[in-house]
Amino acid sequence: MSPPDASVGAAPPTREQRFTEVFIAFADTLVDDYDVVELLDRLVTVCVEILPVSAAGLLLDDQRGQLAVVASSSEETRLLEVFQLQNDEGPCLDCIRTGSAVTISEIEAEAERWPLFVPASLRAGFRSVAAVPLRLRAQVIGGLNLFDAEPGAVSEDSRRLAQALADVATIGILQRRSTHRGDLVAEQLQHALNSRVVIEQAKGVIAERNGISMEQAFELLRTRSRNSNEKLTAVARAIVQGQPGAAIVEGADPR
Amino acid sequence: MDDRVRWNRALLDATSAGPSAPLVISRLCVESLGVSGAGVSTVTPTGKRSVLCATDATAALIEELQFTLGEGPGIDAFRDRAPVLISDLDEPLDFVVDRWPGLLDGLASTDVRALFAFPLCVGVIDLGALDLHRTEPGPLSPDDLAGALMAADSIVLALMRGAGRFENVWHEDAESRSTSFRQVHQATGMVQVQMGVSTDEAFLLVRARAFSSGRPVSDVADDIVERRIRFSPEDS
Repeated sequence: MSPPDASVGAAPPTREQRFTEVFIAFADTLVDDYDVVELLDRLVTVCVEILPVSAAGLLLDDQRGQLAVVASSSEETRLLEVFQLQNDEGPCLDCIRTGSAVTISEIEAEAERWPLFVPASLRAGFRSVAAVPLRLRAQVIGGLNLFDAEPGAVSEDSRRLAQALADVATIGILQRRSTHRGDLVAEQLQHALNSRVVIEQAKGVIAERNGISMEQAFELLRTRSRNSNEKLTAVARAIVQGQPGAAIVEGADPR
Repeated sequence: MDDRVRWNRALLDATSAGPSAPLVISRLCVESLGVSGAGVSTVTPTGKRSVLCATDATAALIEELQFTLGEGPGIDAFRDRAPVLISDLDEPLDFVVDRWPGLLDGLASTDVRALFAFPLCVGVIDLGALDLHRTEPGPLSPDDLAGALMAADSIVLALMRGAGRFENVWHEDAESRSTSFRQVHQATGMVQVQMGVSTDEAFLLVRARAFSSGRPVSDVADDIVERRIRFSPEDS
């Protein structure tokens, strides 16, 4: 007789159990001290894991008239192009402008509406797309974009879950621990955007030093953050500033 | 500020104004963003603050008080790398009273009612802060907020351009100033390593290359990230 095995007979977690775990984990994070870029990064990763989609990305209004990609489920250039292109047109831009979800079950059918977005999405291998707003009361600060390789509208269930994840992102961005309580949205949004810039600068430094891709550089950065138990942005900042080279402007890095 | 294209053009022209560029941009803010005054302070790597410019006596007082007391919105904006937007000093939130007692005292005899501070930073590049004030209370409109953020971006470029050895570093398009293109920041990190220079110099090198080749900075950044363009210390 073999010893009893706890895993034998234990059913794999149901969809509902998985969702519950995900939301409990985010709730835990939000009451703790967290890194906003790391939170958003985890969020798009979770989207791809628990929703029937192939790729996810978060775009924020940079408050200067452009959209900035602050998190994406992959670093694949074609995917990033599709996100970035939505500065000009596309479901995420429409979603941010109107504050309502946009669901497209067959991208190909929208070629007239979005002459740039449609071919770029098809080239990247996507057939359907959805976008849900990051919204705080009347103010829309960005959009969560979901792409799938298969045609077909996201179900009402999936859309509601995506909206709930987008709400987590909104709260995560806007409730960062701060000494200030002035115009919160602008203060917090700009902080999140600048943190993302630090991450990108660090990815460049790591990729060049090690001769690796941006995707690998980001993975290395995340691993280092996890192993040292330091926040992602702090690790990134230390890496960029640890690079030799005298600042040319009085007041510029390295500190 | 209701026309972003024109505003962007005015800012780009102003960045060419040499050492007076921060003052020129500060004056533009007063003309176009519905504020009463503007001032800029920089902070050295060792934390030493200096007042760079101010558009009027009140703006100068705000800069001087922050310099002397080491407290105020500009100091907090620089440290937190986020704007600090206080729309009514007569009904200050608790944290204002707690954090800036000396500044509030110093401004008591003035008619300053609103303070808006913006960090001069791009990722790890931290240069100082732009302080705007208004004699009327009330938040910045979304357009004026956009205008102020763009002005702060332009002061960053002007400061770097003034300190660097590059004359022409950007095209006259919004994108050169934009911080929304992630490959530009990735390219900056790569060039920093390739050239053994600081982040701010790498930031300028990428833009200078875009200018000299007549291409958008995001395209050049793509080439750097895809390793089609490589910088070498021997080139300079």
